[in-house]
Amino acid sequence: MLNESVPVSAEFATKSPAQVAEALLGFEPSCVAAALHYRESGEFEDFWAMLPGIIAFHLPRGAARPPAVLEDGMRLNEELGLDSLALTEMAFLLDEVFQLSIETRDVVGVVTIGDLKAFLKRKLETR
Amino acid sequence: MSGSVVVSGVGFVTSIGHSRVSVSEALRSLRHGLAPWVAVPGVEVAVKLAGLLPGFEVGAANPAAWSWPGEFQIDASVARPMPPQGVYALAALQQALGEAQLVPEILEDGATGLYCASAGSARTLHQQMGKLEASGWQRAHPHGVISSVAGALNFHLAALLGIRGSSCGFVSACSSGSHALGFALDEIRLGRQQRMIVVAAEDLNAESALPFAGMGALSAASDPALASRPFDRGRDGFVPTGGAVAVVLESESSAIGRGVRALARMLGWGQACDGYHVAMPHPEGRGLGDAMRLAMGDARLTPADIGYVNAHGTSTPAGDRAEARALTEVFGGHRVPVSSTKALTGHGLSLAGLMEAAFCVLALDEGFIPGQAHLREPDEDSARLHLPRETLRQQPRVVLNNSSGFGGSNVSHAFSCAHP
Repeated sequence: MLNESVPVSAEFATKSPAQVAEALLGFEPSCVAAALHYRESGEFEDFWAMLPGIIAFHLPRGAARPPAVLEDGMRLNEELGLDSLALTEMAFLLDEVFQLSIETRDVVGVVTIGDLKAFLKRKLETR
Repeated sequence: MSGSVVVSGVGFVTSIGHSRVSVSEALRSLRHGLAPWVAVPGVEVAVKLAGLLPGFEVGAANPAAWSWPGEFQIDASVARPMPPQGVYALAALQQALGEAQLVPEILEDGATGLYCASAGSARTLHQQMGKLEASGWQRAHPHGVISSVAGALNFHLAALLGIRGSSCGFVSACSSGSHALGFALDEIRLGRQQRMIVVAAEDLNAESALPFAGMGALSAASDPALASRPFDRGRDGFVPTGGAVAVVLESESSAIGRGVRALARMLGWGQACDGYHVAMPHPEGRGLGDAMRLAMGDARLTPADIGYVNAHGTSTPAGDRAEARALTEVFGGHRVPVSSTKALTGHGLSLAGLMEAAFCVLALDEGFIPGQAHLREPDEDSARLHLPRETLRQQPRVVLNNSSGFGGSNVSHAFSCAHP
């Protein structure tokens, strides 16, 4: 599932590295690097490589950093500490940076890492 | 109600300093914090000056771009969902909690409460509503409410500090901070809480300040030394400022039991409304006069006991005139030193009353009376007041702190010196 191409939006494709870094201000350098890889490759694998850092950014204060490898069965709230506000904030950030057309109600059924992966892939493919 | 209540901690993020030491120095030397201000880059607006907060950059729409002076340990993930003034509040809290030695075990014991005053963030609300409308009303950011509404400050701070006692926000415009402190005093005197943390914070940006231009309330002056000149014949409006102040009130028995030094005593307070106009004060300062009398009655004081009044004095013609008349009527022949420290800070709106209460605490603890800066020629009503042009090097024993807000709400606090 990871090794598939998904379209890069025209808006994101034209961003300079500095603009990508600005859009991801405050995120780990590995996130920015993955975003730049994705911009070039259009591979979902590169897009997904941003997720541990992006999840870490949105976790509440004091929560443990998520593992580097995110298993599909991991529950976002109970296991990773990503509450519904943080999940929605994260989804909206991804929408703003990558133009995913996410609406408030879209994230209601996203419970596990597998759900999140499928959700983001669908949004990337159908925007 | 019974029991003495003391102030055991204060913290400042103001245009005249971000520490007790720097604020005290400014009050003693009458150093102002007003400076040229670009409210909207590239656009000429009527307001040229503001009370700025050097070292704090919280104007960006993306909170990840915010920054603050290095002496403040603020977690960016805590600040991110807050309104911009939340950063100021965290910095002021760090100072006040440190001085009062309030550690997590005490904050979370159920005997410690939190009252806040803030108008919310018009800027964040503006940004969030713009995005929501642009999405066809389908995409509401999860921080849209908690980063903008008037209660946002107490929402965040109560959760962050682990408060399990009282928590509430106060919204009475420019008397909000004073209302929060007054009701916090009652909360302790009623025995409901042993300690109350009171925080007031206000934004400073185009959205928070420029709407006041439509009411003719803002000074159009461009000289920082003359723009905010309470009680002066030449005043033409207030100069806006933002920032935060935190004050810890505590029952004296709690402070003694914890071995914490009392900075001042809070003796009482009073509030009274003008019953007159939504935005204009009663011409004779009717409600403010009543508030001062009620505060003195609550504290069992007479006008002869009062050694200083920190006036609301915003530098607006109507407001200063009403307050001057109220002070003259209440104090009669008693020659009480009066000053408005807004000449130095600018007007902090919801923040103002608590900021000036904390200035009174410094004056009582350190032994000085702030002078009336920027006063050249008092008008006819103000000429009846004792407005010292310089800070007086003398120990006040009892002081009043006045605030007035829209709707004609008025508050006065009474404090006394805590040491012999």
